[in-house]
Amino acid sequence: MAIDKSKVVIEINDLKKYFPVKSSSFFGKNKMWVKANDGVSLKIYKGETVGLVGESGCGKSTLGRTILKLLEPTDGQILFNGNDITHMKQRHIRPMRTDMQIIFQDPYSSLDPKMTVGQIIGEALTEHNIYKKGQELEDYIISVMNKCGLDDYMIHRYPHQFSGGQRQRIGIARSLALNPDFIVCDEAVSALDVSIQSQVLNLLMDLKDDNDLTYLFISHDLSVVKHISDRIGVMYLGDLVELAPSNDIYVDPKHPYTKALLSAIPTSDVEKQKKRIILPGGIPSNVFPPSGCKFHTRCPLATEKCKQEVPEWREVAEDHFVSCHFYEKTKTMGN
Amino acid sequence: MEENKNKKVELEEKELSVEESKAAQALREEQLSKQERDDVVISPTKVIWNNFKEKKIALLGLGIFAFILVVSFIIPIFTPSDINDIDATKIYQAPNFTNWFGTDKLGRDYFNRVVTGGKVSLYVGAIATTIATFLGVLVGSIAGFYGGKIDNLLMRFAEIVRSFPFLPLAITLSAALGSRYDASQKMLLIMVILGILGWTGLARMIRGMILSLREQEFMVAAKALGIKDRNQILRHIIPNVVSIIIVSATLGFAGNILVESGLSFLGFGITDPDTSWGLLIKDATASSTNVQWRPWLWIFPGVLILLTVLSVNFIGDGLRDAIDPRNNGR
Repeated sequence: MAIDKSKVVIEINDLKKYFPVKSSSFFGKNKMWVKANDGVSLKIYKGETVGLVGESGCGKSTLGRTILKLLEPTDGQILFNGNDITHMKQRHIRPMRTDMQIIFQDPYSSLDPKMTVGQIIGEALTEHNIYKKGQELEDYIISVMNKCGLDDYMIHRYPHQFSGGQRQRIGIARSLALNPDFIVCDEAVSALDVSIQSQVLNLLMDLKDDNDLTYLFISHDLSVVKHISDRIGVMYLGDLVELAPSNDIYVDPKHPYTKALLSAIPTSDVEKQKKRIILPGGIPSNVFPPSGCKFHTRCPLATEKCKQEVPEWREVAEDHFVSCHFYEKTKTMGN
Repeated sequence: MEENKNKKVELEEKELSVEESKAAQALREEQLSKQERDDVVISPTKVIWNNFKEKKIALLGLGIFAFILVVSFIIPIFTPSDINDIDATKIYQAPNFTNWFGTDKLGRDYFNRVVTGGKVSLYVGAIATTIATFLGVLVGSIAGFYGGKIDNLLMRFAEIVRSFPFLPLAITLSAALGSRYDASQKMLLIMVILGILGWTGLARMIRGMILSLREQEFMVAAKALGIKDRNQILRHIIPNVVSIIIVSATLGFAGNILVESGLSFLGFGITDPDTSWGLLIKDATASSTNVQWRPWLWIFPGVLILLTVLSVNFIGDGLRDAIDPRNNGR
């Protein structure tokens, strides 16, 4: 399905999610925070797949879960289909849950071991009174299972009787059964081996076409994200540093971090050896993030300005956003 | 040219055979899945029963327990004589054909007294365990699920309850209230005290389990699916802690029978002329002559307590294994 730019499914403005860290003094209140998301703004249009990449701990999953209000946002705004859900009570969000779903990374812990596949998939359907228990529900569950590549007879089996790939399909079927508009795929294929990964990715893409879905696809695997996404956002230490259509980001990365990240994709082409850009040091603490541009501690292009001024989030080409003072120089990196 | 053609034909033949085998495989799979479907469509209760049946020792426990239940609850209805029929001519008779378990110091039929005492002991055990388990599950799951302040409050309360010394409290209560109530009210009182003081351990264990369950992604998934809190607890949390509940309930049941025996033994539970297993043992061991020369007085209730406690534990063990779907052996 084509992307419908007139319909914004998810809009987040300056979204912040801080986790409290216990301070060491006995009487001190929680004064320190892990800044998992520190002011992220993003619009996701209907029918689009937005990929989200970044190293582990940069706040990708937190963002995905905060958008769905599985975590309470600290600050900022979340609009879902135009409704402000930022401060909505769980009780009021409950009916909207049928429209927004999540697929989890770990196909083992995300399925209740005491429930059969049929119960897992059907639970929410009866909870939201979409179906009553009975033959009709069972038929619907089986049709969803078939769509996700599961056989009929599996309906009465328990999750532990399945392989990782099959379990991930169960998780997908569970989300899909509610007929949602928007699905967050939180590292949905990371726990699977490569051949199963491609099967599940193809399944996700087919399902998207058949059901008019919108995805936020979170992954640390750049090749996976490239394969599935229309636009890609790159995160670093709780911030979105670059957002662009997926082709642009691979051809012409504007942020030095993106460029370094892309240079780390392994290539099978021996002729065309890429220059690997090695970033010095590790990820700084997100309890005490660096001043100015958070990336300045590791950035080969950093100057005094980067240490002091937070770079602006600006559109430097059509649909291409970046937050870097010296994005023009990024091209020169690695040469 | 000719060779190429041959090769092509060969290739086609190969493809054909591949297709054939694929079709055959599909057919086989279809048959297989049909077969599997047939033996898979059994209700969960049936699955549990099938698993339970395979545990011989659990079946044995069930048999013994059922027997004890039937004997304790049915036989008293049909016995011709009252448990307090005194016969001065038959004091301290050893087991014989008219008095299967012998007689006691007042010439009362001991079989009658043991069987009726069993009814009392089982009643006390069952009701006290039900109260304790219900409270434990309720408090533990609410504390674990909501966490934070509610958790803190409930757990501190549990600690307060836990710190009540049971024996002094029970002794004081039955001493203070005992004279005002009749036997059945006193029995009820004991059950309630046992239940109200006994839930804290289970509540703690369940809370702990739930804290770790809450971190599992399927709980996040349940939230994302919009499952109500109550149903999250009932459908996801309770089934995952049910093994603990069963173990705790069976141990608690056995324990409560023993505590009731202990209380009666100390003279603070059921008192003569009523009867319970603990009371019978107490009376029997009141004098060393009884212990030494009239063993039927303590052997029968003692063995019955032992059998009941053991069989309940076997049943609990078997049930716990049967309920766990990972034990299905498939």
